[in-house]
Amino acid sequence: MGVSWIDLELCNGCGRCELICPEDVLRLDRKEKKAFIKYLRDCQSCFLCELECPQGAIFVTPYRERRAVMPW
Amino acid sequence: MQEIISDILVIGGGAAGCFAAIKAKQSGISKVLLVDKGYVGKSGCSKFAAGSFKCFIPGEDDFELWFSKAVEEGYYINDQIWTRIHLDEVFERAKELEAWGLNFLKDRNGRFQRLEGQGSSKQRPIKTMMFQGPQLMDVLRATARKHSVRIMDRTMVTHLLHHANDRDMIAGALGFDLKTGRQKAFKAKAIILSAGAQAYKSHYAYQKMATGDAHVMGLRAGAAIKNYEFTCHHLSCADFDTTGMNVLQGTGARFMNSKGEPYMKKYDPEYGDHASMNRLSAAMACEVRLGNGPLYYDFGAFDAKSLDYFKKTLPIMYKAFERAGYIKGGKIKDRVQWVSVNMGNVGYGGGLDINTRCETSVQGLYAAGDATCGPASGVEGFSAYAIPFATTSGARSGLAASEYVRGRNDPLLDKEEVSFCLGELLAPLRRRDGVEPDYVVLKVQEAIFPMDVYLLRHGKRLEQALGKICQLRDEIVPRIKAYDTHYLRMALEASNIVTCAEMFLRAAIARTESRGSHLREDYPDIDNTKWLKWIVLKQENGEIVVSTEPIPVDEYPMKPERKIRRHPIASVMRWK
Ligand SMILES: Cc1cc2nc3c(=O)[nH]c(=O)nc-3n(C[C@H](O)[C@H](O)[C@H](O)COP(=O)(O)OP(=O)(O)OC[C@H]3O[C@@H](n4cnc5c(N)ncnc54)[C@H](O)[C@@H]3O)c2cc1C
Ligand code: SF4
Ligand code: SF4
Repeated sequence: MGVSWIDLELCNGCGRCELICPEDVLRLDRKEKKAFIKYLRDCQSCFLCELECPQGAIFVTPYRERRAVMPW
Repeated sequence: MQEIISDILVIGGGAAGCFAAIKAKQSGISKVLLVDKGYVGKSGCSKFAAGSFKCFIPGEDDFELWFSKAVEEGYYINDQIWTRIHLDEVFERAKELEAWGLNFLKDRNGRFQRLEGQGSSKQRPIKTMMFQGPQLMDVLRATARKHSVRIMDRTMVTHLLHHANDRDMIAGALGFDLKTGRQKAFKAKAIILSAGAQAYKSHYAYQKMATGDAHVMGLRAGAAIKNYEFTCHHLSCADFDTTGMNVLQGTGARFMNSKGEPYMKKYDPEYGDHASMNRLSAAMACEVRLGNGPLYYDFGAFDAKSLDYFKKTLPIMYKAFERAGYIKGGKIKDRVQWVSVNMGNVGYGGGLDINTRCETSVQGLYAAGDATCGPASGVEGFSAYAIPFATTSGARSGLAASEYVRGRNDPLLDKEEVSFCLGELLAPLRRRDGVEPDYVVLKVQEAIFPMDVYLLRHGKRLEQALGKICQLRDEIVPRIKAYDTHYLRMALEASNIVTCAEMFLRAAIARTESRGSHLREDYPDIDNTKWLKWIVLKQENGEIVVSTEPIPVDEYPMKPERKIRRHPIASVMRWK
């Protein structure tokens, strides 16, 4: 859950997602010029990468990988 | 290690940090460096703010109403001089934002469109301005760059450093590049801490970067922390993290219990579903206690217009609702399970003690925004004036620091301190094996997130939670392991989360009364005879020490009656 998928066919390796992710979840493979999801559990499902990807290659789900403890 | 020299170092590039840096440049300071562990413009709570901007508009609003409500809802914990300054200056900041390119919603006649969200009632309307949420930080980054602020992204600052010849004066900071791990020593004549709040990575949207870094760095450098017992209790969808309460309240969503009864009028006759976040949260906990949980947010009254407004003002959350199947074919689900969230001190609540010049108690160290103790708002102060306060305090800190650095020499770092701090910074990486950071965060959440700890408080339960936190501090934190520099950030954040949880619990135990979000079953009265005091935390010999400071209410415009009265929630619940 969290950031769920990067479509490698669409990804053009621009590196924007790696640059802007506030939780440092995404990285770019510089050789292959493709982004990948590296630290899934820290994803806060903020959709920023999906909204900013010029290629529409990223798909985010609202459900986080680890839910916080609930009050009741 | 790279050494970087600036006149003013601004740590944290949300709304407060950007305003600080821009104002410093406007005052003619040449070297202004803005450092952020994210990417300035795409990070911080400011990036995700839902767009409500509670701004007093001169000529349109009634100053006395705004001021008196801010102090009443601040439960007299406000620094009232700050409250007045904030209200006086906030419209100027809004106009600046507009001039820099931020779109506020306007009506057909070009007047600011105002929404009645939290803390607004027919008798006492407090209307909020609305801006396009996601646009704010893009505008601020562009403006900072236009002003030639030097921006260093993806660099986490971890320690403040003192002047080699004066241990009471700030001279720099230590940090590292999140990707390469390269260590950096910053030398600066003044530092502005604008690295936001502590949110304990809770179940509220998009604030996982708010891990109290500024509070802990400040505390350890000798600065005083205030108001840490007051936490911001926000609300979120139960299934995933959401935001936007002001908009949802403003467009007619209603709270229901599991029996389908609207319950808010019982807990807040004046405001009902428009009540403040801490009242809504406390009411939720009471309903759960009474066996009426789980609780729901009812969207029955939403029409096409409300949905359209939702989409326009909260585009990210709207997307999340669509993805979760809560909005389908232009219709929103009738009701959705909703919960309270301990949001730490995002928006208001504890942080660094500052005066009206944004000076902390350490020379050369300033603070702004969520990093501060929220002096203008006190306990709450019709919330959602968090972005507005980030702008007023950000600007003030930038101006005051500029005045301070003029004519000062480059500072001298203390080599021993630098090497000690560097050792601390790198320790989680150097350990051969150990506990992963996420485990520590989970344990803190288990200790302080149950409603019987943070919402309906009791000395015994707070003490128990403190015991767990101290055990984590002593036994687990020294064993946190970072596999790489990403995990190093997470490790340092986890350690800060533990320190802040300790500060929260110590302050909450010390305040033996109830007041606003600080609601104690064992002390259900708001005690204005004994407790018109601030609780101050400092670190002495490695320990957190609690003291109190009388609030000078007699010198302030609004003076509460010096008597004892029941906390409104305690009277509804008939606590003895
Ligand atoms: C989802 C959400 C919605 C909100 N909606 C509203 C709203 O509609 N209206 C309103 O008034 N308020 C709202 N708030 C509250 C408001 O966003 C915050 O009070 C405000 O943004 C605080 O601004 P700030 O600049 O002090 O901190 P932040 O915007 O949090 O910025 C702090 C910055 O410091 C950086 N940082 C942190 N630690 C370090 C470190 N160690 N080293 C380097 N950098 C660091 C972070 O990456 C971040 O960019 C909302 C909050 C959230 C989370
Ligand atoms: S932003 Fe999109 S296109 Fe660019 S690297 Fe990331 S996934 Fe690829
Ligand atoms: S959703 Fe947000 S936190 Fe998650 S990967 Fe995308 S930008 Fe990062």
